[in-house]
Amino acid sequence: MFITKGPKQEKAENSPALQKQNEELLLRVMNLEKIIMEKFGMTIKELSFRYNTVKLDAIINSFEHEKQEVEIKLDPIVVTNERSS
Amino acid sequence: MSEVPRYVLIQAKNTLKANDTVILASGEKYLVPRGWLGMRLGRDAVKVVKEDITDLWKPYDISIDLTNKSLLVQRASGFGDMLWMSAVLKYIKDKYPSCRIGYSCSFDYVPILRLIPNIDKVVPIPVQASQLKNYDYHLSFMDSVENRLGEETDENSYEAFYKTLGAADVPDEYKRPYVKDIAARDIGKGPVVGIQPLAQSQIRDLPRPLVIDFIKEMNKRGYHVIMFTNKNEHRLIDLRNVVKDLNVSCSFEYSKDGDIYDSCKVLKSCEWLLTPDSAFAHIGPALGVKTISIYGPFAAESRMKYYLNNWAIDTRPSCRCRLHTPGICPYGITPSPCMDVDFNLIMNIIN
Repeated sequence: MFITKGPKQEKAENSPALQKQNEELLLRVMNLEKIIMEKFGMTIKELSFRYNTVKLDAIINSFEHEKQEVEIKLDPIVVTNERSS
Repeated sequence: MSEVPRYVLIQAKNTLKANDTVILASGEKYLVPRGWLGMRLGRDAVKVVKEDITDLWKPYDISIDLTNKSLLVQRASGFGDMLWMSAVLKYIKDKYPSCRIGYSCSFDYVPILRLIPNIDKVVPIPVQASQLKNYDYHLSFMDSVENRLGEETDENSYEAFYKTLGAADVPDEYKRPYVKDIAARDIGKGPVVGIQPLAQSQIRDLPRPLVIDFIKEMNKRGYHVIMFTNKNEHRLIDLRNVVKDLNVSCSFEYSKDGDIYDSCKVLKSCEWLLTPDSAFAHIGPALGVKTISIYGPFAAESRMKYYLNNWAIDTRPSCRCRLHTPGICPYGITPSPCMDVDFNLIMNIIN
């Protein structure tokens, strides 16, 4: 996977106000991460894995699942077109 | 009639290279899947010229005579998907032997196409817009198996492809993968068996205890075990450490730059292959290697219903999710509980 960046952003977009907004957003995200990690006993690694692989709503749903007792039943069969000798 | 894929026409603002290969040339126009924008291609690197490519795409179905004509076939990604397409390409070529087939997939799947017959030219995505004009017709399998939300059913993938192609009553022999006849490579370690421990998506990985039990049991029976896996797979680091004292090696040790074609030569020398629902579950049977494949998230028959040399263990979980993209089981459990197969079931097949 690759992401490219074009020419440098225009000067107006690098204004101190925008930079401050970005910093605030980052702080809010970090706080949110901290709350989630504490609540669900996760490490930052586990959390970033979920961020990278699951959409936000799916993340929330996966926590809901973990709160419940999960009982998964398996009923394995062998499927083949080969004849047993 | 097949549909026009959800591609957009873009113009590259800059030249973009990957591994010294030019992917986008500055100023050139290309077709890319809409999903690439902002993901693989930064929106500031390309300019969207056209959102709808209907006027560039000439959809094909099998009723159109392809004698001395050319066809561009497209399915963008998935190593296993490239193997699925091998059957469809063979069907088209057998019906219209004089047709010329171009095959279009993402540039990172191009190496596996060396295995697949009936391709006259490989057209990597991003596709240069001018290339479309080189073909009389275009055929996309973009939404054949999964719908636009990425959801799948238990329908057999090959049957879904033939529905897109408009082909009815297709013989079963065209519903299994085909690869070129390649020579087996003896690695000089006596009898060998293979295992693919990790799938492209972690949700379909083989459980670690199962992998270790299989390697130990096969070692006990006098086999060297080869793990078929990607050299750059980070999950492999831990696994290799766990099995370091066993008689086991990795497929990429026998290939140049981790080439999948070389791995297939090694695979051909294997007596058995144990694999999850992933690329080698299709390559193994196509090479004539006795393959045991384990299916949990997806139904076995949706993949291997018509395969030969294949024994699939379908765990038929009560929670069958049919998911690729979350990466892990939606219940947040790893390894996925639906992949947890009784080891004796595997050994019963081998015995």
